[in-house]
Amino acid sequence: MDQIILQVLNGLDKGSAYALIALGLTLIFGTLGVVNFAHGALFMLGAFCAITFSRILSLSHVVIDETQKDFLGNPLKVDVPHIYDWFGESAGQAIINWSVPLAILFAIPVMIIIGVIMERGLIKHFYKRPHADQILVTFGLAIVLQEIVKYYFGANQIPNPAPEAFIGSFDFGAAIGLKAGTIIYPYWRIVYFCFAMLLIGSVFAFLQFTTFGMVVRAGMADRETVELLGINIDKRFTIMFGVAAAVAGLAGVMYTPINPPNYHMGMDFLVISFVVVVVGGMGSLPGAVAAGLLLGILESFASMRQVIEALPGINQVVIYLAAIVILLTRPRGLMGRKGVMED
Amino acid sequence: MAVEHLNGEGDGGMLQTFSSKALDGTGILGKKVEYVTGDTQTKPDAARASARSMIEKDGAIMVTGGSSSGVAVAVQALCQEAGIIFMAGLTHSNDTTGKDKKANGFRHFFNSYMTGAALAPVLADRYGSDRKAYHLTADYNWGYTTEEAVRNSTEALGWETVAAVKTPLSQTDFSSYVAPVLNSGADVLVLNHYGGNMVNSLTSAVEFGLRAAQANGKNFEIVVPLYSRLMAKGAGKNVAGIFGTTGWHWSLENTAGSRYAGTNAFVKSFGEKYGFPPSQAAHTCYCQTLLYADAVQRGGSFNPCSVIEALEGFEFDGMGNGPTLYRAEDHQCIKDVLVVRGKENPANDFDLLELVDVTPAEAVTFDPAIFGGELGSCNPGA
Amino acid sequence: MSGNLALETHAPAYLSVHDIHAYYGESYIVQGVSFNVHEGEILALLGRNGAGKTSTLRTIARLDNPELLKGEIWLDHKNLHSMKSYEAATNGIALVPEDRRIISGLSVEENIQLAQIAEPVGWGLDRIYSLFPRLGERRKQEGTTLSGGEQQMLSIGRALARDIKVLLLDEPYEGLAPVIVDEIEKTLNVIKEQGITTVIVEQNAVRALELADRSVILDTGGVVFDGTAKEVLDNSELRAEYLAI
Repeated sequence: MDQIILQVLNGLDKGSAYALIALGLTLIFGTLGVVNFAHGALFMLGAFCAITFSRILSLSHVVIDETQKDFLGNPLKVDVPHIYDWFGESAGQAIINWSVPLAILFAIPVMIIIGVIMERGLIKHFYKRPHADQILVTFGLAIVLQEIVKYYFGANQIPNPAPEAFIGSFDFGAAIGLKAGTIIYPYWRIVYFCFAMLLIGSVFAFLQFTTFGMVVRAGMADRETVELLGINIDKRFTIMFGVAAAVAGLAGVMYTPINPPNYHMGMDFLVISFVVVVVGGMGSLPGAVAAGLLLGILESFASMRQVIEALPGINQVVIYLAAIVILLTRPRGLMGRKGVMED
Repeated sequence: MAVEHLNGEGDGGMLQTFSSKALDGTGILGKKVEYVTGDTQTKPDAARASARSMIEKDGAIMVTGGSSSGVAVAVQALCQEAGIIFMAGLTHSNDTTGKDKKANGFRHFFNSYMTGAALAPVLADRYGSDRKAYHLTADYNWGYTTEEAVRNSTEALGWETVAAVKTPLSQTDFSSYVAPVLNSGADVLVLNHYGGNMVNSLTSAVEFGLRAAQANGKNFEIVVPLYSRLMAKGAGKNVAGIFGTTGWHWSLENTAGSRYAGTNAFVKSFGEKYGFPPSQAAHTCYCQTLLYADAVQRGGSFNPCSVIEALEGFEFDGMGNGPTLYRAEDHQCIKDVLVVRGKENPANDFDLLELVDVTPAEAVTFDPAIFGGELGSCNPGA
Repeated sequence: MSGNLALETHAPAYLSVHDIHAYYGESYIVQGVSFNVHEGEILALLGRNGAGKTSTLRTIARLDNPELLKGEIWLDHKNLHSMKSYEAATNGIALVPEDRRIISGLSVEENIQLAQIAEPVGWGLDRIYSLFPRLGERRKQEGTTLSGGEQQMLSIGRALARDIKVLLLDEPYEGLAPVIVDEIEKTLNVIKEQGITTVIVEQNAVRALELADRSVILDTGGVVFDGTAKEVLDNSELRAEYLAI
């Protein structure tokens, strides 16, 4: 039983990342009708925003400390971050400690700008082209972005720890009344799940309760009619691309303590996110979220030792198997609108 | 840097401490040494392509380097076909000088078997012989042989292996593999992982509370059979108290004595040039380059067959590992193995490991026949 | 032809459609249609199925399909043919489409509010609800759950929520019971009294002709008659030949 709860928890936090990326993908597909294979790269760029931010915070100057020696026996050179000079050592340390959540403020404008540039610069030229063309172009863009990041940041993964307060785990089992020590789960992963739910909730609230959101929903349902009512939907959709980019980027920012980012993490998440979108139903936002969480949990269960012993290798293919089964029995996906993608 | 020293530049590094004095800084057989580099991307296909290009287009006559056993085995086979010498870099799998051994290939770095033989006695001594181990193993040749070596050597001392789960090499998030370990009945987690895999799996294991946990009435322990200081740096505080093995460490001469002469000379040259101490990977590649040059010089010819003859059975010292034998039967160096442990309170980023024990070469020597494979005959190339 | 000359010869009226040719992909649907509509007039655009009536309206509304490849459209001396659909809408065109196109996921009220986002805004909610009390009763209901007649009222109400110059009605009576058709007809009379220029396409030709001032009949993409509504009503041969009634 506790094994199951543990794997569900585990699936939820990985599934949250899938859900966030799939949400952005569906937003873009539902509004602009574009299949955006560069979306995983946006997730990756968000993570590297967090890295860049923490590097900026840590910019230091060298101070020679005569009292200590380095490995060659010379006086030790100590890096002192400029932040310490401006804010004092303890405040400076606190700021650097909280760099991951603070990076959210940095990432939002950066990702929106990147999204808008991507859309206006490249993607808008492909609205009326067949989906195959869109896939090729956006996939190519994803590879270019990946290589640029690899060039500047190197090929190795770069650790970016969570704030000290959230490092470590807590006894989840004890919290829900089970014997102590049976279910231990890391704090930050729970924080991530809550953050993801909050972000998803905000997007839905924005769409449901603001006028802008209403126009976007209307445009997703029937673009032609919205234009007949005098509204230039393209401008709004461009902004939604920026929003989708920001959502993917924030998903990446907060994910950095869970998995140190590297240049190919975008690709790793992209393929699964597309499976999620298709399973959830192209064009359905709630479907994308639900499918993301479900597939995350499914992947987690398939990694259980007992399952792998019964079906070797299942953990690597379970998501694709689930997709095949769902698409054969219900091609529109779990919550897709009838007719979308059924031709 | 090895090339620089061969050509007489820099401070000569280990050329001064090397037991063979055939090299004198005037290049090899009077010829200046040049080199080209390529990126293997840790993928055997990319490595093969890169090596082939270097041999065919750049005229390379010796290939060294590489940081994965998959790459090493692939490139070694390519060099055998092409008739040039392969001086393996960082490769730890038994297969490289075991079932995949080749006449034109040589490995200086130690292997999985030696890790198991060195580590098991220390583990049994510190943790007792009544332990149940859970293995997480990277799903490729190095993972398999390391798991096998650790299992065999620990089981021989009384440990029980509860489970051995393969993890994909490209995996970055090990949480779903680590989560079930605590309740599995095991009290030791063995991570047969290297590089990024190890940093992530170890961090996950610590995050999930394994380090602080209790199982079967004992403290839960984690073991990382193959360490490297770079990985330790990536994992940071998480390596504290965790046992493993390495082939060499930059502080070896200072902590274990003059048997390991050559260490400080190399650390000084490397440190001054690059600003940080060298890793065991850097050490092995440096040694391999010098050993190749020396073999050419002693044999008086660049012909691979002459080099092979000069290296087979070659005994040397002064390269930081103590007395070493380059065994003729499998082209594997037999030398001491270090058992290390993560420090609880490291003084700085480079001081993360402490030496616990040195297992002498005799204790890790094995019969080359146990791994099968055939050396074949030397291929002198065109 | 230069701008002003074109204006004078091709745009003598409030809404002038001059020699328009429109295509659905490769299909040549609107094959050189021209007609004029004067301010405050109601024009009945008639013809058999497939004659090109809906396509003509969609072309005037500047939708992407059918594509206008040749010809001119002028509204109140403004060049409509180089505009996109949303620009045409802000310049006074309102199309009430054949399938009503109520937007799912939005309530009745939201559908109307959507129409009031872009300038220039026309009727307020209260005025629309007084014309269509049933919409007022169902204002918070999801738009697509309304009956056919109610959806038609909503579609017309949406058009009136904008300050429009020309109302294009595509088959407003289609699929509705006679009782409901009467209701809609009453509303259209109110609109006529307001003096809103209207082009109405309708299978039920007699009803449309009773409402209209003038009529244009299309056959296979071209104009075959352009005259008063009374002429069509009186000429049974004409009706039999082109309208099959």
